[in-house]
Amino acid sequence: MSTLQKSIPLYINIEQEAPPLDKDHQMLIQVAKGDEHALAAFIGVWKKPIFAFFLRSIFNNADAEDLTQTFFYRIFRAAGSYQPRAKVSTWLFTIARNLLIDELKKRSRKPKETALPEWDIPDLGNSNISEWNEILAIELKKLPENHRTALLLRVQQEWSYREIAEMMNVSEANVKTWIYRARVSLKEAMKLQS
Amino acid sequence: MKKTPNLFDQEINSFLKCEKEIDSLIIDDEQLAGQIHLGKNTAKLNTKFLRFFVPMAACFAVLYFSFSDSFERNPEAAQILAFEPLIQPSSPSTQDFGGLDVFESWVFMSEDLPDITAVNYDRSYELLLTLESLTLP
Repeated sequence: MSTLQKSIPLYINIEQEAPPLDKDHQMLIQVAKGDEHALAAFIGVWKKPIFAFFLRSIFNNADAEDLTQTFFYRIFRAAGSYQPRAKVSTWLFTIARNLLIDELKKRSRKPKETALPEWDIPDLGNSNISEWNEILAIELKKLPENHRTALLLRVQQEWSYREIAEMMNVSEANVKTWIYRARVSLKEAMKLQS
Repeated sequence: MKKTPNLFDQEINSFLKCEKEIDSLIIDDEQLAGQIHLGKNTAKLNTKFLRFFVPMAACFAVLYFSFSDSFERNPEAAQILAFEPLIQPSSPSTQDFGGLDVFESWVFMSEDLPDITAVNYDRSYELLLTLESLTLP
């Protein structure tokens, strides 16, 4: 049997196995068509994970809310261009990360108005934050963006290393190292305090 | 109580998950969806408006300039333009006269003009008086 003959049945099998659309993908299709109710349902499902990601990346409730809203604006515009090569969640967090990187760049370009260094006063909203949370906020802010994002996706979204690597376009080994380093630096700061 | 590494991990995880803060999130799904939808429609309208009116404005501009250009090149139009300087304002302009002409006309029009040559020019005071005595038209 030649190589060509062997490869043909395999090709046919791939064609026959069309993966069923998951719920998020179905919703995205409706959003792309301009269905307002589908968009509201989509926002309902994704607003909390996205907000949590932004909140632990920029440490300000109001800014995280603004970014979350901007994120859904962007999703509405880009919904039609979604290709089901990757999972919907991967696509969503790629957009969220791009938005975050843009925001961080904008902030780095702006001159600081306050005389105090920004990390001295983490703005964590009105809640009664414990001493640990304060230290963690300061340390998390000091981390490089890719370390922090990898850690957040691992802990908040409970993604596998492989999924994170796929989303961030790096190797799994890189992701593992980043998360390890991020955890170590957070723990060290906590140990110093205790 | 001294915290063990395991407890540190738990603390880190609960901080990163920020469940309490997530619950305080105030984003109304329906309202945001409505705003986004409205924004998209406005954007669509703006795009349509721009797609229609910008080329039209460009066409008008091209027409206008090509017309004004051909008008200037046209010999008849050039003749019309050549007549334009003939139309003068009602009051005569003094800018066309030189300073000497004005002086001469003053001298000519003054009736009792003293003999300038008879004046002793060594005495500048007299010269001044002579000049002052000139009657202006």
